[in-house]
Amino acid sequence: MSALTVRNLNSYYGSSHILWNVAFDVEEGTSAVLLGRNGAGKTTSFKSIMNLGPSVRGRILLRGEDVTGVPPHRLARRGMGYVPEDRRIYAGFSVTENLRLGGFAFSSNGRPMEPDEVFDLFPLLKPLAARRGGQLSGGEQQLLAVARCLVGRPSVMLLDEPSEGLAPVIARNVLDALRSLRENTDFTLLLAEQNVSFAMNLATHVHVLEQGELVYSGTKEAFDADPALKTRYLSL
Amino acid sequence: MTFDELVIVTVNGISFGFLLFLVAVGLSLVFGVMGILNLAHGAFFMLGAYLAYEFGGAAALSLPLFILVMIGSGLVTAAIAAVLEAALFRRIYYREHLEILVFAFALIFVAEGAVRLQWGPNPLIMSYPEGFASSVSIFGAPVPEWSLLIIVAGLVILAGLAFLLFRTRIGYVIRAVAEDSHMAGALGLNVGLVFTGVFALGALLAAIGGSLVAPTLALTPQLGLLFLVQAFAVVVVGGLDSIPGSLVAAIILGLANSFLVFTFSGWAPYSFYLGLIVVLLLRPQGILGSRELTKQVG
Amino acid sequence: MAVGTEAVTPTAKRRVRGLPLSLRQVATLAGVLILVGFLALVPTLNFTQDNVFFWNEILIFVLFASSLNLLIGYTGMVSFGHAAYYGAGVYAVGVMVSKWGQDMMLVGLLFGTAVGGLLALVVGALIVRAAGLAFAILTLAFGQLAFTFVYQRNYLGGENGLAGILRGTIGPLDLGPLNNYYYFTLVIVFIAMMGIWLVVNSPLGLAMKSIREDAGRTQFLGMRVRLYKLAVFTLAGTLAGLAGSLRAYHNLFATPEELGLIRSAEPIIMSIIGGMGTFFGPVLGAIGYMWLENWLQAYTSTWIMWIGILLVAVILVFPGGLLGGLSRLRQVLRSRRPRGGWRLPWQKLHSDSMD
Repeated sequence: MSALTVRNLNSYYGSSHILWNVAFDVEEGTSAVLLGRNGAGKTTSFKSIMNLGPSVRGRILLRGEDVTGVPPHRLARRGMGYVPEDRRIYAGFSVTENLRLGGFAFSSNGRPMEPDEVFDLFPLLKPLAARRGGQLSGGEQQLLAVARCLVGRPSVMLLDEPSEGLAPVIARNVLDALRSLRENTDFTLLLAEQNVSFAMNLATHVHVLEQGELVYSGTKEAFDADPALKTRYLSL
Repeated sequence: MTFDELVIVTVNGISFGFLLFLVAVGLSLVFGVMGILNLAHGAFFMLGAYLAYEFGGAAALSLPLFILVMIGSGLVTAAIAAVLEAALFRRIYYREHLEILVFAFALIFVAEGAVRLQWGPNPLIMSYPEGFASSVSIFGAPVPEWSLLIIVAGLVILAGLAFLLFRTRIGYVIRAVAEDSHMAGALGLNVGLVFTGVFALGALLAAIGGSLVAPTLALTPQLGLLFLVQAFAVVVVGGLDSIPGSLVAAIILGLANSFLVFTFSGWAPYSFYLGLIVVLLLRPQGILGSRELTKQVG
Repeated sequence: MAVGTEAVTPTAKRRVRGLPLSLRQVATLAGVLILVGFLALVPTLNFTQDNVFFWNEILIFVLFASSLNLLIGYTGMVSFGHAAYYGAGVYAVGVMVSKWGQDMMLVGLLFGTAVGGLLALVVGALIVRAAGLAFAILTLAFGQLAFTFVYQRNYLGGENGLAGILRGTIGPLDLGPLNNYYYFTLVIVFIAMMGIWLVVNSPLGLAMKSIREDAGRTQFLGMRVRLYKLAVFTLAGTLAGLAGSLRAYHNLFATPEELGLIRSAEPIIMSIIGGMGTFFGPVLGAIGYMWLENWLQAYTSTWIMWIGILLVAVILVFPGGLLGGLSRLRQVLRSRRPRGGWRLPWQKLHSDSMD
């Protein structure tokens, strides 16, 4: 079953038309990556799916249900998790408080994750529990942003450029954390990246955006088998 | 200036400061969360005063009854404000400052007309609660009891607000929305509901301020503009998004006004405007604020 | 840079056959002719003197609102204290006539205009470095200072104001009779409006619009933004001073209300109703507002409520006022862009942050 379906997505900021008929599916339990250069429309895609700004035409389905035009907080409560590119950690809140905020996304049966459960998944965050969000490093903030999203037990996680702005060794740590996360928890991942090697460590499916249009969709294997794709769409 | 006068002028200044704080704190709260300067606050202030008269009447009430009247007036005003927010204000947050300011200003006009319709154009006089029309002696100086009550009310409300914002789940949500409403929505917080609630809370505080002022002056339909510029000065001088800043600024401006009235009374009416100008030119974010107003905020 | 409301659209450029003018220009010209023709006929239309007095006031507000439109509409400098410069003109004439006994009207008009402009120059020099909300609050504070000043000064008549202003002659013109003064006002306002037209269509006007769109970027491009802002502020103050001087000779009184908060709000309301940032918006807004206010006041004591409701409705439903609404309608008809569904305040804050 398809966890997230995007059909004929057209997005606009003011009078500029950013996304053109973007369409793709993300199957339940898979990790899809949206690749593209800066300005290709990755973040706009996420904001359009999450209904956070752009005017949108088209259809967005979450596990088969039409959620086009649903306000963001309801989307979050229906299982759509969003980790923005700039992380948006609450600088004035402690790490634990930031994590508890993620619990508001949770409204179905069961309960949101407790901070301790999160610390089991992200041992690096544990010693920082009392630290204020504004005092964390970029890598720590990225981990916290992902963790905060997980607290609400999302069925789909939109993860926007987790490697951006991180030193290679820090990005490596984040990647390791994400990989162990994929093994230990159960959710569908849609990742936006321009760092191909980072993305390929997590991806099972690849979609490529260029100038607001989807130009390639396929499995990771098919994408890897055609090196011309990378040079054509992704090299700088 | 004798010692007695010093005591009276100081107490009056602090009392006026707390009154201004009560009127201004809602402005500051709403700005901190929604980023808009809500001039309609003046309308809620006036409504609070008139509703206190409506519920309490002209005769002197006992203090508990007056407090009940004040709370009733605040709740009704808050309910009206909640409806206004959900029906109207919500649609204009993303507009230019000018439109938001004029929009709110227009609501003061509407309130003025509505008050005329409901209560007529003639001034209404409300009594002080029983036993509060006179003065008590502090260090031998006679100080109006009502001034002291306003100070007490200001402290109570300050404590209540601090408790709400920093010790409750509601406060946690409000602070999260104030810091980043965008992300708060994506995390599942109902930002719209928080906006409505904060807007209503601001109106409640304004109405309580209005009820507390009601016995001290004649109520007229122009009341909405009376303290508006002063309240405005308080929040700007204190820092638009800072509640402690509002308190500090309110007390500084209240005391300055009180002392000027006594010493160079010709200068007193200028004090608020001069305060505004000096702060905006030298420290645009206000005494304790963090948001630089020189930049376009919204 | 965002497209302003006055952007020339391809259809608007369509020429009328046989004329070196576009359709839009022909329509504008016709509108202006009709309007000026009507205004010129006001005294002869069998109106009472009260009506001439009323239309004379409208003319003054047309100029006053248009001067503020230069600031807010064209340059994006929101002022809540414009009545200070208007009131300075009123009181300058008042002091000159009733205190100094100067009865030469031309001197009075020039003096009032100059005082308005000078006050704007001094205040502007202090405050143009502020922008946005801070600038708006500063103009409010200075406006209230000016109001308090005239209200407090016994020399200026305190809350009663100054009486004893008289109209006189300018050369062979006897402006004593109201009809004559009405025509004089019409001519002066017309000339001033042509001046405003020239300014907004000059390189200065272009600079003003680019400051409105993005002051930071404009500065980056090497324009001396503050100098331009000061020039516009002074010009607007000068024109407000002129309107105030005309008002002094019109009302023959100088009262503190001429500098009050309401007087500062009126031209804003007029421009919003008519269309802020368009040349004719404040003109239509001033006429419409004054007419409506006059009409409502005759029928109800709660007229101010209806003004408030109208204003709320215009801002909610017709952002851009009458004229802005027209051009928006044209845009909507032309483009098939969908309307954004879910809107919350962050939309404006974040709409520029594309990836």
